[in-house]
Amino acid sequence: MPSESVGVEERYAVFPFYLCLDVSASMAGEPIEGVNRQLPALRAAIGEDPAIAEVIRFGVVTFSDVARTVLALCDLSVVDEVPAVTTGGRTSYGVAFDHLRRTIEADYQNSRAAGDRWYRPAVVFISDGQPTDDPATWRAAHARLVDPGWKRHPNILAFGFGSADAGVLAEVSERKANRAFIADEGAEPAKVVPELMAGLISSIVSSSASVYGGAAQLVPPDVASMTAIPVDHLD
Amino acid sequence: MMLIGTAGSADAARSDREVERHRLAVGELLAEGGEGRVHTLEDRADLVYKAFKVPVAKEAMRALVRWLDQVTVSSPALAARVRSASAWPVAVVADGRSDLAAGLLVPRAPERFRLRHRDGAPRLATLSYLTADPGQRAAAYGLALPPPMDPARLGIAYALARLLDALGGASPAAAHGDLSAKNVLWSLERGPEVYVIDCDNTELFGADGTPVTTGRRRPMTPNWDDPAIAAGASPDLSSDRYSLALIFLRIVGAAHFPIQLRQRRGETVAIDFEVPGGARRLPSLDRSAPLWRLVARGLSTAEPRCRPGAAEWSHVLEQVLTELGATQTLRQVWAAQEGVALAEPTPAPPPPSPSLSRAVPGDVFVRPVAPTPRTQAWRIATSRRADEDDAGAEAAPIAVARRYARYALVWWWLAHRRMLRTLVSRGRHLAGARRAVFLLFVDFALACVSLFLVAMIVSPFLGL
Repeated sequence: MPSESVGVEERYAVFPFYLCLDVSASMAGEPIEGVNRQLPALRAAIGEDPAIAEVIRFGVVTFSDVARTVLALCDLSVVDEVPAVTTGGRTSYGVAFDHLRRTIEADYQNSRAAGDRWYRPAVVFISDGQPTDDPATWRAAHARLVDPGWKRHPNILAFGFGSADAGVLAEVSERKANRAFIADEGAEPAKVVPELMAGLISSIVSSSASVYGGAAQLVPPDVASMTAIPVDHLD
Repeated sequence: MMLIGTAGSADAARSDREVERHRLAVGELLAEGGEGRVHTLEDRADLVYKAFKVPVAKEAMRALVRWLDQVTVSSPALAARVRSASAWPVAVVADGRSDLAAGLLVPRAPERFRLRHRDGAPRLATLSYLTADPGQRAAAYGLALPPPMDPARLGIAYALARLLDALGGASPAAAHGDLSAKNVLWSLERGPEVYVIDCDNTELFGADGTPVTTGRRRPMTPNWDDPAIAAGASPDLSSDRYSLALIFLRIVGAAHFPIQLRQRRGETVAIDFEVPGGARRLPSLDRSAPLWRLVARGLSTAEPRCRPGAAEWSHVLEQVLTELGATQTLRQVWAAQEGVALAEPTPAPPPPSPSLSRAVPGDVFVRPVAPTPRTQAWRIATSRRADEDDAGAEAAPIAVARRYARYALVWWWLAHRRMLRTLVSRGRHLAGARRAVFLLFVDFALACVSLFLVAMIVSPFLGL
């Protein structure tokens, strides 16, 4: 069976990761400082290894009352630094999901125009609280983000600590096995956040290795102080 | 036989190149992979201790260590080549009286096989740096790497072919089995060189092609694996031949060339390999050159047993480098691998059974094509909030114009360099003169345009 010719422009498909970070006022202090300390380590671990960087694209989205793209989806090897994130406001899940949908669609179109092929994007959702917006509003936004009719709908890994709710996180990750994690009771955010960020780095590194096998897999982070939220069978 | 030049840990060495684990002065952890951890030794800077996560049959490791001793006796020059270009194990690390080896003592990769990014930290110079647009690597890491098809890249492939020739030409033949980007280091400090690591993955094969030791699973790295090997099976003698062809394709072409998925699906693979215009007219690089059939046969999954051996590769690459005028590159490779003086080259003999005229199997085709400017332009991005940047759309035409200006500048420089090289090449003076005349017209036209721009735009500002 013949195939089209292979030339220098044919590259490996890329695996996009979006870090979607809760920066509401409750994240102030140690949690957000922990994130800001770990982001440069994440950039170095991925960006300084050409074999990882060339198949991973990484972006950072923050949300509180509003959602912002702090780091546009990029090849981390050509970014000099990841900007620090600051806190303030409430915890509006709805604006985060709407912003993610718009961002993913725009990034996908830009990447396609540049000749990149994508694996299904992954969203790493981190929150220390429960949504402060109307449940109907954030659930509608979430439904738009994970709509199976939208070809770019991402896989979501949800992580919670502080006053985050396990049931809500399971809902965010579409109740899929090994996709939602909650901090163990009594675990300090000062301990959880660095572990979570280190786990995220190893998750991205492991996921990048699977890209080369021709079938990318989203490898969930292994975080010692967090437990996977159990998911029920539907039958 | 004692562990070479031993002291300290080496006191623990046994006459059969074996050392007890508890007598090693194990230092810091250097690296950790799926199969083992690599530690420094506090009393030996030139060796490292590779500890297996799952112990391996001691006899298989002993056979590897002894293999190089045997080659040293039968063919000292080939043994020197293996030592200079690979981290071949020097001793088995035993743990008690078990039949299992806890690990190996292996040479540490010399410093020249490390690169420094902008942050200054040394990193192993893996082939990953060479398998993409050098413009990306320059923007990302501040590294000035040679362009595609440069003699330096060809020289690295040539150095690897010579190493594999030494491994495969011995008796029993040795096949590494996992020549991935991470396992082949390179350097240009003393001319093109390679340094192959993770040699404990190597299998020895008897004259009939069957493995000397059995029962050891030898996985290949995804994306660098041989599609002719069934899932779960270990690579065979022909797999290193596939790896050599794949490495040539990716590092000399400076691109990913993701072909294995197509090959597994049973598709015919047609590869467009970019070669600069002048070089495409050389007999060793034109459309009918043996090199392209060599690559196609090396990558074939239809007839893995017919893949060309490393000796054939060495022979063809020598012809290419010679026609490119890069005989100095050849001498550098010979000097680095066998420690001979530059004035006393030891070229590879012609392959024992030349098969250059063999037809390609028909599942892989390679053809040289004219280079095209790569569509992606790279630069270091100062991170910013995307939603604060509304100037992106307006800036796009400027970026495109800048990219084309850069292409034009690169073309201008390459055309002049090629013209000068042709002009001084023996027997090609006339072609060089024709190019010189053409470029004279180009430069004259550029000078006229520049003068016009200065007269019409710049002068009024200066009040002239």
